[in-house]
Amino acid sequence: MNIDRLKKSFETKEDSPVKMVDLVYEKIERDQLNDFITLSKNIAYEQAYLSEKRYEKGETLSDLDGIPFSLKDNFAVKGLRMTCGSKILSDFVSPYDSTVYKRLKKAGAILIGKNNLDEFAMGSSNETSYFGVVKNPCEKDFVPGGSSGGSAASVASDHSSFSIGSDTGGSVRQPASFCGVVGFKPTYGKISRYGLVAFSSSLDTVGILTKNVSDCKKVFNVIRGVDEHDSTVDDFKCEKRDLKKICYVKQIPHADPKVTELYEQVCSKLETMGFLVEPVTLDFIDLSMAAYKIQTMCEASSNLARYDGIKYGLQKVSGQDLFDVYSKVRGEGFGKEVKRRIMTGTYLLMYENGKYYSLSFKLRDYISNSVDRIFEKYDMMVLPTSLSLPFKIGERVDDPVRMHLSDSLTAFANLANVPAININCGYYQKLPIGIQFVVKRNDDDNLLEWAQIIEQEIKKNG
Amino acid sequence: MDKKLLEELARHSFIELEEEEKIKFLDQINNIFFDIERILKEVNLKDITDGDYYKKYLTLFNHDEPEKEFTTEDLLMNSKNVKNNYIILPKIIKEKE
Repeated sequence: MNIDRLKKSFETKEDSPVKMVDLVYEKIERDQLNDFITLSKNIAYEQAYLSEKRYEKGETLSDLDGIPFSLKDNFAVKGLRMTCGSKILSDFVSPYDSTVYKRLKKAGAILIGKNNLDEFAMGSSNETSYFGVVKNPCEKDFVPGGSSGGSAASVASDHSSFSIGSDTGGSVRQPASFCGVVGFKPTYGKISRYGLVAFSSSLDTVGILTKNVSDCKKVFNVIRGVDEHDSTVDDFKCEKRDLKKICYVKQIPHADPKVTELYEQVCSKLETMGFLVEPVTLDFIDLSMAAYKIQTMCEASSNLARYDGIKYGLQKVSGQDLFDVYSKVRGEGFGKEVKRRIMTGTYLLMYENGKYYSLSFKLRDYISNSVDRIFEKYDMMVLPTSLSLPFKIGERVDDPVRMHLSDSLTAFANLANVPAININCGYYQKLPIGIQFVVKRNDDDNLLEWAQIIEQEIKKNG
Repeated sequence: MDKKLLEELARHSFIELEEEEKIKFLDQINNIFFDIERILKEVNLKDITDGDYYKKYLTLFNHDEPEKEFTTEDLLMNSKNVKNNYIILPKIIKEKE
């Protein structure tokens, strides 16, 4: 369901937005992937009807008019349930719209529903959701990645043409890699976070999942830009330039040989395309994992303090006193992964007066400066998105250290605040393998241009 | 970390834990800590000096004006214990034991 083809079919009346919505809901029902927590049928049919009228009159609103999309269930839509994949918010209804949703609605896109996710976006396999595991559409016994696993699965299985996710350490790119779709994490501050539930505020970035890079550009251009509700967003657009020099990482410890093999093939392909491709050493990958864990867990322990069962969410009145009620609500409402991260974050903040949290800022500076130095010499960096292929459901769920390894090649882009995109570059049997392209801060438009050229070349040659 | 410290952390975090969770978390949080410390031991932290990354990129603030966007009904729509537009709280002051 790529956007151009769908739009053309609406224009030629070969298809219509309402018929498309019917087909999408039928397919969601048939596939049983558990990629949605809430379906927004009333909204979808109303928006589809209005879109159909606009096509009849030839007065469409944008490239996205009539295009079905989904939102990760940590984005607010007024009057719709927003659960964050958690029991503690399982009946919470949002009183306002996120900026991303407002802009997509204004552009005429059709909201199909809210996607399943790891609880509060904490996870790399979509197994921590209170609403159950999402199945990988490519191989149903395997995880779709996470935390935007429902989003990636829905795009891969044509349940939506695009989905909006959030990427704190790889949560858009890694599931995109596991499900064989495009996953784009822009520079922090390109898309408003208003109405996105906070996990780790200094790293949380709104990301886009699509079938191809061309669609990703269209969605990005609709939702980007200054927003009065998010003071960190800017309108900066980079100067267009040609891609010349690419660097790659020669040795990637712990990588699956099947991933490495495909990665080497992609690097050779880039050389044959005429780019200068040279090896670099990344000495900050392990460090980035330490900094990422410290920062996200500390910020999560603070951000999630608001869920106390008093104003909204799971509410229990029985308890000896207020603090007892808090503890009971949070003990029952949060899943294991979230509790573990909150407590680890609390410990890190308390331990030797927050020594580790202060240190994580220094590490972040170091990582950023190292990344900046690479981009003084190269236009783009290429590396695998994930060390491994998608793994089986249940295989890593009780081993947090091994699970956190899933973020090891993606988290540095969030820490250094640079844009990155995953493109599917091949398969091992039925399992997709994604490759990640990273550029310097604010070079988002060039990244999308270059990624599109590379994607077309890879597709052309199979 | 021992069980006593874990229980203290759970109290600070306002999270009631089951016994089975305590055993599991103790092991897992210790592993996460060991892993962080292992990584940090491998680098010479003296070489890592403060840069100006934060000053340059994360303190980019635009104006931030408060606005009245929500009605009382909006704000209370998810509250289950409301009387006269006030949320009823459990008692805060503990009785003398």
